[in-house]
Amino acid sequence: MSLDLSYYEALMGVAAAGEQPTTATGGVWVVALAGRLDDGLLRLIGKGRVLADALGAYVHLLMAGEAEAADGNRAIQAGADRVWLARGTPALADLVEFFRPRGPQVVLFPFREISRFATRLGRTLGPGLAQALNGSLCARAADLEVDPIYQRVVAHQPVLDDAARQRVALLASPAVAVVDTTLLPAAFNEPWRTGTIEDTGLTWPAPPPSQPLPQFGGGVRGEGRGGGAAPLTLANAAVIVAGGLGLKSAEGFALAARLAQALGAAVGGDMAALDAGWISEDQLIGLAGARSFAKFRERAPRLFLALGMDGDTGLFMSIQDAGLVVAVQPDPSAPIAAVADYNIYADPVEFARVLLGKLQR
Amino acid sequence: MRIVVCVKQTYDPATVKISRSREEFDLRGAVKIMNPADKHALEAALRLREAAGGEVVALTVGDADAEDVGREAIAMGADRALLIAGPELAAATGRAVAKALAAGIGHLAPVDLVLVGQAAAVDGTGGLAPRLAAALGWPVALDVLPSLSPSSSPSPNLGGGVGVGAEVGAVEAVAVVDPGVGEAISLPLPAVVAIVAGAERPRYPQPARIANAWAPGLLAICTASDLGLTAEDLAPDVEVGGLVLPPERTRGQVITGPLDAAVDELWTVLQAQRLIPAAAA
Amino acid sequence: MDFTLPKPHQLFRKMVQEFAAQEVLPRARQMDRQGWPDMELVRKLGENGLLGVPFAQEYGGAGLGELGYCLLMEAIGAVCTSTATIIGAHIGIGVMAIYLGGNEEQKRRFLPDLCAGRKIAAFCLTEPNAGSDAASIQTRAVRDGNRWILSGSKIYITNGPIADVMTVLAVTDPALGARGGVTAFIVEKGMPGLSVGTIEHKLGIRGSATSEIILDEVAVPSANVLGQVGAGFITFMQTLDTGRLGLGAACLGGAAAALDLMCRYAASRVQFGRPIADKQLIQWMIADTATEIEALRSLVYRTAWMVDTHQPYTREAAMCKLYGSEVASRAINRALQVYGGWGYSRDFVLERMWRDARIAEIFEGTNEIQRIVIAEQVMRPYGVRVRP
Repeated sequence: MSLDLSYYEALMGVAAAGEQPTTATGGVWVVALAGRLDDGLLRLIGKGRVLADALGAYVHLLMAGEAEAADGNRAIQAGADRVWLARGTPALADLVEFFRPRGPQVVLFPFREISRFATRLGRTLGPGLAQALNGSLCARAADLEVDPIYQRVVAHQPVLDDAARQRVALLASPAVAVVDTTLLPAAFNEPWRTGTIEDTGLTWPAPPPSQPLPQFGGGVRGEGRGGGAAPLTLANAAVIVAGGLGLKSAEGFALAARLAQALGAAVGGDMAALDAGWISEDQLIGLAGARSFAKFRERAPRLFLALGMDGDTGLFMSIQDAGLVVAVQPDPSAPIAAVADYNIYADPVEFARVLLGKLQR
Repeated sequence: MRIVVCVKQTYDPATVKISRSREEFDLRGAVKIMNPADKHALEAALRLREAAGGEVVALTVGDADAEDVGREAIAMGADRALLIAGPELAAATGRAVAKALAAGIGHLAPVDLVLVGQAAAVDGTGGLAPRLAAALGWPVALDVLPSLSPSSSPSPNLGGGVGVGAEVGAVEAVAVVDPGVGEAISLPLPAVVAIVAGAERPRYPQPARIANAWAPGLLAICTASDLGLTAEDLAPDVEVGGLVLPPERTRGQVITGPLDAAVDELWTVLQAQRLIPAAAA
Repeated sequence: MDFTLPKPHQLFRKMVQEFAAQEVLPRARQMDRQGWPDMELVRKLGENGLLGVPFAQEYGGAGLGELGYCLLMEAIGAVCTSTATIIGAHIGIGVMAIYLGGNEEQKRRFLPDLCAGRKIAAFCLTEPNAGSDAASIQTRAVRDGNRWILSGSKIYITNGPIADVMTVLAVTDPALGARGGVTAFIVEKGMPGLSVGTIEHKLGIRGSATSEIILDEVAVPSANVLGQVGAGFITFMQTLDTGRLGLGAACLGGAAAALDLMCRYAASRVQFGRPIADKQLIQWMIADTATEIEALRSLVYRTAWMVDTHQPYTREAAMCKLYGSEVASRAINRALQVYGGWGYSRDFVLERMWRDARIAEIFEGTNEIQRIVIAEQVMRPYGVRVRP
């Protein structure tokens, strides 16, 4: 990423556009619906701060749910100028009614909130608000910036499974973005910042009770019948974990399979793994394996993690379309070392244990 | 009941490449297909029709090429299709598409249920269903698995279910919350539902239906102005620019050091490329 | 001149390619190993309307004509020659004989079940002493009131062990021979005296079932005489003409698959520090194969168009079979050479393709017979009569 000065200016509390904003309308709004400020929301407030400084605007936070004043103070330290408290969960009409007179310039929703109910709220209400207010929308943004020439918000929208991001300039006002907060820079925490906390006095109906279902399969091979989600295969998985003879034993391979599950990956193995009975034929990676046939692939894996595989032409054919290849095996002179993007020369079983431990933490 | 399925023509993501030098998609050799998630939505609609009776109408917005996906939907089992096309839609962005689809649904009234694929391949964001619901003023559900069951009225006590031809007032479904974790929902009709891929592959188009799908009378074409849409309605809300690319691959890099440190370094690389599930990040 | 496929055929090609990749390819290896058809796959073919592709919809077919049939065979032939063989024996010759030679009542009685895959067809012509010389068959049919009694044996019958409906050629008047003395019959599974004899153990197309069919005084009702008494030889020869075209299409698919495999490996395999795709020797193999495939594709699609537009196509159909089988064999042989030792391994698909390809030069009329057919057609205007 290139050097973004506005980010540092924001850190220093300097508004890049010079003049301090004065109006009560407009502004950059962040909408928190779960009633709780998780780290993702704090980062989003920080991103709002950066945008607002570039646009010369205030950062407003609308906190619905079980909002508390302490959360408001934390939000101010993270970059908010004005915090608005409300109770309950708004329906789209409530949100439209709230925003229409305030004429926001930018409205940011989190793609996902860590909460019991609110996971889909941002994704549902954000696009709805954009449509209802005749604004512009990026329904899934990985990052946002302000175009310095046209002073408009540009979203970076993931394309092709996030193999790249497309710049989408949001032309119509309000510019609404549903932002995947996981990759935004760390939240600001600046105690000297000041702001106001106001109670809107609004009480929206409480969220409907959620009816969580037990595990219904999907994501794990062999499960997911009937109503389940699509099972992961070597043809459709975004991440593939493949094991070879270097895993040494069925236990070693089982560890790799557990790692795959934790990564949401499909499991593959080489001919040695097939001969050893660790995998079935449709999990074969190699010349005879399904991934060698273009017809069989539904999508290119973004990550191919090869554990204990030296690499032969069959493996190389299988990983031709992979976005990133990581190889873990002990021998620096193995053919795969030159082909993989990243090599770790280590015992693959130990590696799987360590990474799995880190993932489960 | 009348079910409208919004189908979109996309490029097959397996055939789309990225040009690093021009920082844009390389569409040479790219193949146009029906958006895979829309096929699941259509499958869900066809099964619902089998359970509750009624009619399935495919609705699509696009250039003349988009007629192909309307025909494909008919070949898969849709009763008929409506294509909203015309040069004024050539530059249509999400806002205009949602308005055009809403107008198309108004044209097809009365409609009980609108199904869309959760997200388009290649550059989809999943914004269509909530936008369309907002344009229609209907409730919306996202991330819903394709097996929907009809019921007479929305109810917190799920498990209703009605027979063919009965009055359908709601659908019950499962929305995916996390991989492998679902939530039971009940949605009053009319509503918009965004469907994600289910475990079962959507049905193949039937060869005999393929042969007949281009017969006259099955697919109606109308323009945006036929539906009363103005130039202002169709004005673009966004402008698509170039691609931001991840750093170029360098083969043969080695992460050295003790295993714990090496895993940490790899972790950073994977996280920077968003290859570690969000829940773990 | 417009070489684009009609819209329905474009969609059909997409559908059948997806079906081939998702349903057929995953089963191909196992079918070859077990040496027997996967009946679940045959059922799926029927359910998805793929066992009646060229036939009119009024008889339960898809109405996609010969062009549709060729697209089907091309797509299936690219992933599994055994499955293509099962389909070819069913649609291309078994059902086709009834479609071309049957009367209205017979078509209505047999075609809907056959097109839906509820019943499978076989075509029974070859005998121990009548291969290329089809006119010298010895199976006899003797009239007995309102029925015919068939006796004899047929060999190398594809789908023999799984067939429910068989079209059988038998001599009804030895004095007349092929010119009026041979009649086609529809023989149904369960008729007393009909049995499956020796099962063939083949070099390739092992996933298709081939057997002897024994007719031991099988009583066939007159209603099952296919077309006119004495006209059977003509019906069977016409049927074989269209069958050849489908075989050429399957070869086209196999050859294109071999080219794809060849290119993929050549791009990945590194020797002398560079991918072998950089070597001119490999490039020339690829260039020759690609050129032959395009020539074959033009020939196959054009011939399908000739069939669908009711033009004579005997010469072109023979060319499709002759050239197709040779192009496929060459392409697969070259691919195997590019893969080297890997190509020779039973773990990899090429050895199966290599074994499977060989039959195309032999069955549905040997390539020698095809050359005779072509020479006969080409030289007739010059007053030359070509005899086998």
